[in-house]
Amino acid sequence: MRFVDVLNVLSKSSPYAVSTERKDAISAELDAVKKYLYIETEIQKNFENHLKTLSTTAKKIIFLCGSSGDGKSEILTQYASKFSHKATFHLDATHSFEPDESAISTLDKVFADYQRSEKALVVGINVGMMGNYVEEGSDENVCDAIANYLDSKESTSEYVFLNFEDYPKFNLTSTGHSSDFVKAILQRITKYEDNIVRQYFDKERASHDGNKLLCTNYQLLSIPQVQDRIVDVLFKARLIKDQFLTARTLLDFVHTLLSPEGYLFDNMFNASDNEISSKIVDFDPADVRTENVDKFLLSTSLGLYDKRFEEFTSYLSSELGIRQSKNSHSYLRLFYLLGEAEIANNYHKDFLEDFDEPLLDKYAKVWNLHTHFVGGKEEKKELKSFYKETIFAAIHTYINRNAKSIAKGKFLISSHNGYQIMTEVDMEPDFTAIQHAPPTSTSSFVANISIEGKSVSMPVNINLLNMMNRIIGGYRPNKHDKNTIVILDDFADHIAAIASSKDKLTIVKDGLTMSLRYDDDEIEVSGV
Amino acid sequence: MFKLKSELKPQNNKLTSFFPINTKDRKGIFDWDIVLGHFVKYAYRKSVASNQFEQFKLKCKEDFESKLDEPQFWQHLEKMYFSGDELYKISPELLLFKAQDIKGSSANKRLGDLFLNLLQDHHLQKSPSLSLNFLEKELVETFNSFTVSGSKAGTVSKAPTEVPYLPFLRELFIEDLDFIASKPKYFIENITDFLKLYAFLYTAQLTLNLSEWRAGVPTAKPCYFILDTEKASDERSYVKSYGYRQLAKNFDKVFPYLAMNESLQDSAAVKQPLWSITSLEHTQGALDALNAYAVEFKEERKLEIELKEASSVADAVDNLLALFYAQFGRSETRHDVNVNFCKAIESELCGHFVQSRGRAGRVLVFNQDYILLLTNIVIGKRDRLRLHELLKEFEARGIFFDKQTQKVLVEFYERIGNVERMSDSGDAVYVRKTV
Repeated sequence: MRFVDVLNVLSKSSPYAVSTERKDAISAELDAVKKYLYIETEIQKNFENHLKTLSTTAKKIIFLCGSSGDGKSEILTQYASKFSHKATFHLDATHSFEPDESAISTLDKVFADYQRSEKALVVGINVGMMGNYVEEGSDENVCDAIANYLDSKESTSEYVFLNFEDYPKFNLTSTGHSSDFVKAILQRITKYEDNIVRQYFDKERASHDGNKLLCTNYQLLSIPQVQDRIVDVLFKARLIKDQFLTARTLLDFVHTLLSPEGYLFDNMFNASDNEISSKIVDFDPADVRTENVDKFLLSTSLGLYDKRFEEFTSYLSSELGIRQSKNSHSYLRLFYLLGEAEIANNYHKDFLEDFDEPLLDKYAKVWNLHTHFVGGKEEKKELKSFYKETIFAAIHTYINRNAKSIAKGKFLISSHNGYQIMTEVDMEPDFTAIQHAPPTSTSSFVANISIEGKSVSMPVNINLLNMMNRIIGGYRPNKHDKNTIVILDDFADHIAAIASSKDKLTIVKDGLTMSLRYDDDEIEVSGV
Repeated sequence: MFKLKSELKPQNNKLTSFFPINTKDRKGIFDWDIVLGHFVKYAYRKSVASNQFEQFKLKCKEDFESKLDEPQFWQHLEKMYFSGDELYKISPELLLFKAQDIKGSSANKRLGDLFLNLLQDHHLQKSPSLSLNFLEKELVETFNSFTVSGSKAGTVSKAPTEVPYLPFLRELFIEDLDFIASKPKYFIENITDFLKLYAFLYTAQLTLNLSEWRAGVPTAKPCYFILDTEKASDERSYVKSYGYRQLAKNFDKVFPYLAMNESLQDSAAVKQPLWSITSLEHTQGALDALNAYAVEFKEERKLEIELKEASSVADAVDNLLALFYAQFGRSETRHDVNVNFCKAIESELCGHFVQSRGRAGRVLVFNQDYILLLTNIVIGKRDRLRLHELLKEFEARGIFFDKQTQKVLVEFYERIGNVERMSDSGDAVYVRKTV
């Protein structure tokens, strides 16, 4: 068997991409590869515990929920026969028994059977299907339980919900982010000892007609720093593009990376029919524009190679089999992927700063400050400076975008026929609210602000954080930025509402500044 | 109850009920600010006596001068709030000043009445509580001393003159209005678009339901739209068959059918919709009267079409509808009247929702602002809706999207960031409102 066929196990179009209760093996060798690649996850352990503790006295339904490709069927098939004496397994909720039956009516039947039977029930189900069942299903108890779960994420003793989304695939720490899930899979594929995949790779490389490109890609993928970069990019796709990361899409993504159609670094940023690839095209490092990068592009396109670069590329071609090419964009992608790796004269490290991504780090940092805030003095200080320098500054610039120079702390509330009405508004981070905020997923945190003593909260995701940074940098949002601007507008409305109740107003018109003070039904005017 | 006029005689075609357009209407007949003024009067059951704007301004001047330690500041206040439309941004109720009966603006009143007839006895209990600064609070307080209010229809404003033609749309209109009124700032910014949207939905659904009168109470009929950012191709069968063309084909029935309906009823009575005529069934007297009316009408108008003897009220009504329709036929002298009427419907009530798209011809479209408004009002008091349910709510209002548009719609929601996905399944898409 050739290496390329072995790697096909990863592809979403391979028969191995979907687990079913099949009896005959497709190929003993491929079965072994697939078995090797399988990684036991936390959710599986919990699931197993639930199965083990099933008792005949307390019947229950266990819902294993997730997206398609998360590995529901994979887990269910593993346990179906082992626990068949204790529970009935319904592997796929979108599946129906008869051609004229809908998935909903099949589920109705499954739940009705459960009511009559003594055994517990295990259902593999997509979250979307659960919503459909609540709408159209006929078993009221089940509908209520599901509706309750969808609202509050709570399981009961009779209805247990295990959801892949509750086992985050990325972790945010104060120093950055990581993904045990992605790392584990990449390591399993590329590790040096006891690795079936690598055995096929060694054979391929030794063979006289071996697929060189494939081998190069596999070697690149084996570099730990490259794996870190891949985790980075996937995390960006999750946070910025809201991309779901499931076992199947990830494996298929690795498959497209290794594809012998091109080098790994090009495969990565070329849209293929993989969902993830189509999202990360936008993160192409070849689109980075810095002086350093531009210089590199200019000189390579003119054929003016510097010596270190030539050294570097000749090393790449002799050690990794990467042919020298004229495509400077591809080189930029390669430099990006290699990241901190030590290779030859480390020419690629010249560009580390250009590929720096402060946004991800900043997001990780403030996300952590919010989620793990217990009132410590140091954290308080950091939070305070984040609110002041980022949130308040951005809001101030945004709200006052139509007013010429406006003093710090003052906000434009409204303007009428050229008169601008503004007032002073006091804003502080609301530490108590931050401390007692319910936990959020990695995709956002909640900024809590006290405006004139009134508490206001604002959900912040990475895109909003990015927008706030750009606004501070002088960017004027336009109507195509509606997404994040809706949140800012909403917040601006809060400020305007609170600010208008103040009894001091400043009115500016053509350089004339008038102050008004409302006091006991009298209005004091100054500056007319 | 549908009651026939005691004496049915062929007369001039007249249409004053169920539709705000008149045969003399051409282009640009509606001034939406004035329409809005009428609407505010009906919705809040408040009114100001006519021509009091100057008095109001004087009173404001007086009030402020007594409170200001520097009375000359009034001139700035006057410039700030009393020129242009600034005053109306403070509170929609101030628009009452615009709802004055000015000669030659009957079209605005007719459109205002359309909304009154949708509202019927319903009205908004609370004035919008806006967050106003102390200057604006003064203005609103002074304004309140100028208004008269009354909660029953017919006290401050006049009583509705017709029974709702589209009861399903009326219910949704009230539900949506109550929601939008609960968000004062959003209300002020979007109320005109909201009314334009409903005026159009009413037009579309009335048109589509006219010939279905035999089925009784109208229901939301399929009417397909695309988003204005989308390409329209000729292959989209729903958009093609149940979109603009279907609607435009039926425009020429509006005037004849409704005029026929009106001719059967006493001019002083509260008008009943055409579909409720089924409640007349089985009375011999009614059947005879309708048959005789048809014969006389045919003679009076010198129409060439053949009349089948009607044995039921419904058949007799069909005869009459055919006659009324035929009097605007291609070779008739009245032909142009109805052609212009159709043109006015399209340009005045449907303008914002019709676009020409090359080879695909004209299509019904929703732009970003309208789709966002629609999404917000449809989600209403709830926090979020599943995409599936959202589409059902659209359809209840007579707005249908084919699969292709649904996809573009989700992309649009994703771009503005009000989508929550629970899993990768298309069913697990939740849409949040943005107000």
